[in-house]
Amino acid sequence: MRYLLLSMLSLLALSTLKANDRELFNYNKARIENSLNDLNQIEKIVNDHPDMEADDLVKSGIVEESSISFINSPLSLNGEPPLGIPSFFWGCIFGVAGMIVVLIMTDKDKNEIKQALYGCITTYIAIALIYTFIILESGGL
Amino acid sequence: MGKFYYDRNYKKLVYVNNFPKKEVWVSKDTSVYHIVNNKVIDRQSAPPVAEFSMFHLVLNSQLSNYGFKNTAMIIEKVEKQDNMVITTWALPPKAPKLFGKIKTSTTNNKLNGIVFLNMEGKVIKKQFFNDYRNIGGLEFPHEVVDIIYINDKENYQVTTYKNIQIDDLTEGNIYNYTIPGNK
Repeated sequence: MRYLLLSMLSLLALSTLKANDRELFNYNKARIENSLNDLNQIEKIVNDHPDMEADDLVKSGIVEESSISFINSPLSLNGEPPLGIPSFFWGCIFGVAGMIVVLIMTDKDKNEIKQALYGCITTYIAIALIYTFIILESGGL
Repeated sequence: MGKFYYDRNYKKLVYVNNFPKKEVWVSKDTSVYHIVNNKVIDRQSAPPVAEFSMFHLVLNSQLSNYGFKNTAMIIEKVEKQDNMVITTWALPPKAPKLFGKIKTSTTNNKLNGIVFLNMEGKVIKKQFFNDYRNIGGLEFPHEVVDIIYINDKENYQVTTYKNIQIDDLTEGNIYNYTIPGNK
């Protein structure tokens, strides 16, 4: 009986662990859509007026300047996107290499590397360190 | 808002942006060029990312593992939960401890999402690939949702793709974009 109880508890623990892993891949789509409502409106305006630039929208009073800076770099840190490259390139476009940069940039515990990434001279060394390990140790491309 | 161009032979990633600014970004080898009015206004050193871009992975049918199979990352665990396969990736033991584990989930061999954890196992970033459509025999996600956690606050980024074309012959030159001053 004791073993049965122990087995049941183990199974329960395993299923809880599995449920947690599964839940990691859930997200609140409605919340995201709500938070991006303003951007959807801007997208519609720009689609209707393809020559319109951000400054035109601000001047015409359609959007506030703060909204435009959000469009420029929604995931920027310290007010600047990583290495001055638009944030959406990182991860979404640059794949795993870009992801690694974003991970380091957003991890509070990696301040030294973060600062290195911001620094002009050490930038490449920091990236090369990661890149060498990830890419070259795997036998090249 | 703009257009991406990528030819896996040239390995140049070209982004012609129309909004919020008219500009061109080109990633080639270890450089990312920022071009405005046909002049390079900035050049940054960056990893040669083209081969790891989403476009390259889709064109080479490698998006399901996000290119991790081409890296030194090791598979620590694979689990099937309902119709979802969750793979846990980890850095090799002797690698610098730059970040924690990474989990990917696939359904029918299509990448659903990636979850990035820090060394303490806390989620720092999630990315989801939605709205897959078959373009020229390739499954391309038309929506990518990024959730990044900064100071325990969720930040969102949604990238939508429209009018994806494969083997486009109408704009051939732009795929091999000539960097101004690099003739």
